[in-house]
Amino acid sequence: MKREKAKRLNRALQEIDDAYLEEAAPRASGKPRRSVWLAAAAAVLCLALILPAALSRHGAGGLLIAAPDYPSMAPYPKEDSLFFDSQYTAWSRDLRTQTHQPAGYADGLEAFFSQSIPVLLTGEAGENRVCSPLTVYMALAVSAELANGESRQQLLSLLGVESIEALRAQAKAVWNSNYRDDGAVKRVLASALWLSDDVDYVPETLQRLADTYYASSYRGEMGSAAMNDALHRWLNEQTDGLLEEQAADLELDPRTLLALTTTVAFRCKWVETFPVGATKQGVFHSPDGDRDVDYMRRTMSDVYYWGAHFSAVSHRLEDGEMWFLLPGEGASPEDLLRDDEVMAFLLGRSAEWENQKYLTVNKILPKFDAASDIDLIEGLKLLGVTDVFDSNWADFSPTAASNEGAFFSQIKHAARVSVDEEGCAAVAFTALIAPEAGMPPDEEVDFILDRPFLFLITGQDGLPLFTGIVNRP
Amino acid sequence: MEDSGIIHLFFARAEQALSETRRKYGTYLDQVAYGILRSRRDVEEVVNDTYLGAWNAIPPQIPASLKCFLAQIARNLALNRLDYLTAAKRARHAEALLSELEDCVPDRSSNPALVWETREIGRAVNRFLSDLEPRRRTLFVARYFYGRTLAEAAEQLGITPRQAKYQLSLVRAALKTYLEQEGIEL
Repeated sequence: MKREKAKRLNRALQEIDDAYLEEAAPRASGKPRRSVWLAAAAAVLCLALILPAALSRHGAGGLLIAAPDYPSMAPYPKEDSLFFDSQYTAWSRDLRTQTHQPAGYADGLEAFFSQSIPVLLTGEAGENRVCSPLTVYMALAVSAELANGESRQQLLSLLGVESIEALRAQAKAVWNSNYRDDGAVKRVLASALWLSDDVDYVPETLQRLADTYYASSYRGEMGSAAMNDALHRWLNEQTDGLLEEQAADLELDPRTLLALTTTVAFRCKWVETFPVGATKQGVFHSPDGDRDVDYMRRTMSDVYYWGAHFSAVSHRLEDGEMWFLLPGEGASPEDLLRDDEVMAFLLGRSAEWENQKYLTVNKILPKFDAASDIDLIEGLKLLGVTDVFDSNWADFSPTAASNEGAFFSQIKHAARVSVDEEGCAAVAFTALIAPEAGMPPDEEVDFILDRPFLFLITGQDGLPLFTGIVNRP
Repeated sequence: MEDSGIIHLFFARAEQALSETRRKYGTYLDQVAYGILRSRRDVEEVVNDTYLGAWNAIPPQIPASLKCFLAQIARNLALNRLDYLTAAKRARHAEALLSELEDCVPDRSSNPALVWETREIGRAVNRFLSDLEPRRRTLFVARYFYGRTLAEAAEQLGITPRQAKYQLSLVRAALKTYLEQEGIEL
């Protein structure tokens, strides 16, 4: 009799308020939690628009002349605050406002990413390669505003939009859906224009860049120490110092008419932390030989995906997701980039992917810190953007009246992604057999990234924030 | 995808609603069902049935919290499954939970003929929980709604399993007193 009553009470617990369920949920995504695992990433893209004719120089460096008005966001709620509930409500409301962008705003971007990612990640064999497709998108969108005629048209075609008006609407939505600065997560697609104080710029264009693309404008003496210092300070501030080395290499040539820098920095906690103490050294089979790396481990119920030449899992971030793609034996990450099936999978079709199974996945992932420095000019030429690099054809009339002969002389893209864990201690690590690409076993699968692999970090909207090939963790 | 988007897919009768739901809440639902059933095979069935349950319920329903709505379906299905399993004496973990919940059953019975509606009992439990110190409330819900083991619930709160056990015994005694004071019949 008492047992029956206990059962009734157990059934009645079904009615427990949502708020209490959230409070006690074993894993409440988006809620504050203690976490030791971090993924950090940063990218910078610098376009330099050179005017070959030497200009007389005067003035100081780095004067801010236009600043965008970033959206305000309620701070991330404090777990132990008496006002947690109201803080949480305000924070989630602001987050929703940012992520609710017009339906279909990202339509057409898939074509751009599927074309550009393989080009961006093509490089020297055996090296790590990292890029931020979204940063490249934003820099090219701003470039389209600066250009006109065929120069602009080539950029619009690559970005997959029909008109500059369509691009403006899309870029603003993309920027907003990816904006988050609430004290817990900082993810800002920041842009800055560096202008020579010898040139009269078109003020309407600068204003539009601030309003639509959230770009700041600085003006000063190109090539001066003060201007270069201002540039380095801005870059380091935006990328949290993660790309200090690469930023130091950027110098503004005295002939520079305008430089555009676009950055994104991203630090985020995992939703499911990797147990402290489960990390253990193991062998990673790099192209240039085996090396010892630290592997983190977690066994969990999750979706395992596979294709003809790859297997994949994702690991959720509190503000996005990180995907890991392991090529099948005999294939390389570069091979995957040439595979249309892989690109389709990467660019957001995983939810409808036929070859997926929910099972127990033993995730065994190496800690890594991958960085690379890429010059994009040749890659963009391959993708059909040529005029802006040719002083005979480039048209930058929306930027400045005296733009004759101006052209983009360099587009440098640096990016770094690190995945790390604090306080590792050793427990027994059993060597497991790496899976072949293909259908998994019935109940459980080992997903071991012990050879070169491809990764992708997406934000809440699923757009590719960072992608890369890790050959040497 | 935001919950509103997923609910929109349910309303549009788009099967993507199921894949998006699984993608966003699959792991969570797995834990809800696993807390009660402690068997992967049973969990898989229950969670799949949960998606079907959501498909049949939305529309017409519009959940205030999709996550909690799904959790309630999953838990209900898991309890149904548990009835079958306990009949077959296959659920030791659930037996332990029920045995602890027996501590909350009021001794006195003012009107044995009266059996309260489950919903009313649930409301009384919510009133009780609303006055409970938040950490104890979390512990109670983690243990008896989500079916966490003592060790898991303790870890969630950063206390030892021994402390968790002691705190839970206090909460159960308090709930029993409360239900008695409210004159609630189970």
